[in-house]
Amino acid sequence: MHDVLVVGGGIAGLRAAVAAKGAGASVALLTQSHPTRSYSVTVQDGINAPDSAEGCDGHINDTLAAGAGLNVASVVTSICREAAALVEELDRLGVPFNRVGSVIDRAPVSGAGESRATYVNDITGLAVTQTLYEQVIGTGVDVYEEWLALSLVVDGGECVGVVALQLATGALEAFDAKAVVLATGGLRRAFEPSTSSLHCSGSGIALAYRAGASLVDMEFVQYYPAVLSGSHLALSPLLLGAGAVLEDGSVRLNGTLDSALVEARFPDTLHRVEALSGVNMLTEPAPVQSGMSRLLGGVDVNVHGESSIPGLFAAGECAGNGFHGAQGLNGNFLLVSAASGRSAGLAAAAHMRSVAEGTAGAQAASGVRAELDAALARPGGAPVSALRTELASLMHQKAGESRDAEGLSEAVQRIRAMREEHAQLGAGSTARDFNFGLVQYLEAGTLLDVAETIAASALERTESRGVHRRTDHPEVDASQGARQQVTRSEDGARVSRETGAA
Amino acid sequence: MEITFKFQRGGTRAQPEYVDYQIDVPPEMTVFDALVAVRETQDGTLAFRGNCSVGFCGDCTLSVNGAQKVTCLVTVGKTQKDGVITVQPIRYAPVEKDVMHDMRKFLWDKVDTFARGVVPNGGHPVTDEELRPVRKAMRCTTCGLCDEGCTVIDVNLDFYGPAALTKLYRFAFDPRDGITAERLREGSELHGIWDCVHCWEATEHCPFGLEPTHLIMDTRDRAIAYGIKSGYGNKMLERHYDAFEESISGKGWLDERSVALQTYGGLIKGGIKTLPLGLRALRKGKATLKPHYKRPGADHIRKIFDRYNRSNAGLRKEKQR
Repeated sequence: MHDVLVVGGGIAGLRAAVAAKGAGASVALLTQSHPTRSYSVTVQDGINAPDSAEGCDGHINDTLAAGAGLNVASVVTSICREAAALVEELDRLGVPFNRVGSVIDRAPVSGAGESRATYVNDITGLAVTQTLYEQVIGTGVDVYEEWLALSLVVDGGECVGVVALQLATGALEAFDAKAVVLATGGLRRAFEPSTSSLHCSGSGIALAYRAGASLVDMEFVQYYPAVLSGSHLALSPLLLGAGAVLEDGSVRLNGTLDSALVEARFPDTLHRVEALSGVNMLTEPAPVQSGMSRLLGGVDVNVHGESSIPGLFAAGECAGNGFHGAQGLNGNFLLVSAASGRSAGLAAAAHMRSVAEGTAGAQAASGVRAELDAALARPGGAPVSALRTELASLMHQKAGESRDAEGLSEAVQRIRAMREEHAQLGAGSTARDFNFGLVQYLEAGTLLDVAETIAASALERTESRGVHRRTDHPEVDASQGARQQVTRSEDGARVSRETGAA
Repeated sequence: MEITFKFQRGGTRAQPEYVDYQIDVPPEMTVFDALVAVRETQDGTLAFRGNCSVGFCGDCTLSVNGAQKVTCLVTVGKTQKDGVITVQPIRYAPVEKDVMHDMRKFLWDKVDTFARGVVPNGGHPVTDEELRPVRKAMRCTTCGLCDEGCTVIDVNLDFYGPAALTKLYRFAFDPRDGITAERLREGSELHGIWDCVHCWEATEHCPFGLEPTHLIMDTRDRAIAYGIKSGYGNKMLERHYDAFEESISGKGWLDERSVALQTYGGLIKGGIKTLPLGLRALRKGKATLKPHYKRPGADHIRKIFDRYNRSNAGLRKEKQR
């Protein structure tokens, strides 16, 4: 039994683990891959953190303006105010932020107004992940690598642990905990094109949803305009912010940016673009397309990361704390991951009410075992893959950058039908060790569940706001200025709108 | 394009057992994406790692057609030979299943040894210049290709290897860290920085140009500046280092006689030990009893040494604290 169990080893999860550990809790971190293999390491964005009070006000205002009335203002204020301190802390712990002299530099990122993004060349995500991982090692957090969380253990209305599958052996285990922090990231694999990693399967969101937690802001799916064609690589908003030109489906450096500067600050971009597309960006434009990059909603949580289930917390991309509202700014995503991770970790450690070691975990595990054994025996592989591929194309076409009632209804219906097809499928092999067919089947399940909440939520919002663009309702409707919650019902995703404050 | 993946499943590296999988993919698709497609549509029990698909997570390292690669950064078209891509584990790494390496043993346990987070020293404002080495080391994705190329790991899996020592470098050169001396001492233990044979293979193998061998050499310099001269208490090596430095800094040239004597423990002890060798050298005309004439340029060399010592005075003081 641990005091705090964190699920997910990216920036939010690592930060949560370090915070909870620092508050005196015993902490376990459960991750699908080694933490420094998480999606977070690919993020080449910066971290918005102005170093003055006026700068901070500007940051708050820009964030609220982008969020188009749906931000939770108190969350925005709180995170923006702590941004500079958060960056200083990361710096003290070892993130080698770029500096001018000895002052941490602030650079512009595309679409976010003033120069307020702190950064580490084009490897901010990698550097922050490594640094937080080092803190996890240094402080003695117990790390469980290559475990996939399958179900939350809820006892008497409280979350008291997680049932997880060890990929190497196929063993199922119940991890008891006094508090659980979900930090599993997004669900990019439900969209194509996207900036996806393989593990972006929306698992934490699906787990919380299945356990009865409320989701929020699920209709807001943000695309990034400069994803290298045919790949999942997003060209850094710092590169665009520095003056690279995005036009006619390509990103161009020559003529606008000094080669020496590009080579010094974006070496990992140049290298990967050349490897992935054969283009030398110093002399040729790189072909790009728009790709899904970020879910703005997630598990409905407050500023402390508390969900509607006591003992269950969420942080990072799988959490909907209302910071971004209807549209997120570049430079704010890593900020929210680190900030929300910290507050959820602290809140989870403070939660620590004494939960007696019960039998709920073991019971939940045996239930999951029975389901898994049945799934192992059912056929899988190609038909599951086909479902996932179809989902990604369906979501992009019907629930992507441009939406309408007809397409969204179709998507909801089709996803419900796909879930029934999915239920007839399985792993395609009874192997226990490293059964990726089983993983694929389970991930398709979480993707379908979360995708349905996105389509249903987008169908319900009959207006255009932020990144939610309805061709049949192209204007903002002032009467729809409240956030939408999604909960699970017998008939599928049920969408409701917050009453009262907008 | 029609590709046959000959995928090693069982057997040994020398006598591999392959299973063939055919798939039709565009030539510009990465090898990793193609392998994932095979696994997803043909055989879910195929065991290999990988996540990000854009060369940052470092998880998809494999041997493809005999070359060791981060497989999401190479294309099917350029990798295949006559439509075939043979997939094997990388060399030296123990295998859990198929081409799934035991990365805990091969890499992570070693990296974690040196990964203990920064202990903030609350020190001076740090400049961009000072942080460049840290930033360089942090570009490391821990893909393991440097360890795969390492000629020491080839014969001794216990050697920490360039990937883990890159992590040590990252801390050894971080001006914000408060326990540099302790880290350098840890890195100087058996299987650490002093066991590198500087064959430069790691630098050759790093796909991201981080030059891990150089980083190990720089870490050694750092250790020397902190008074650690050889690692794990090998007194003879320490005396050798001191004698070498004394000869160059004092005379401006390498006096092999005095270096040999001091290395073996001074005039008497060293004299006895090196006597047979000295006599042989005299007989063959390779040594002389006459005093050395003054080397041209020796004063210049001494000056360079002085300048080096002055420029490192601050560091030496820091280490004495």
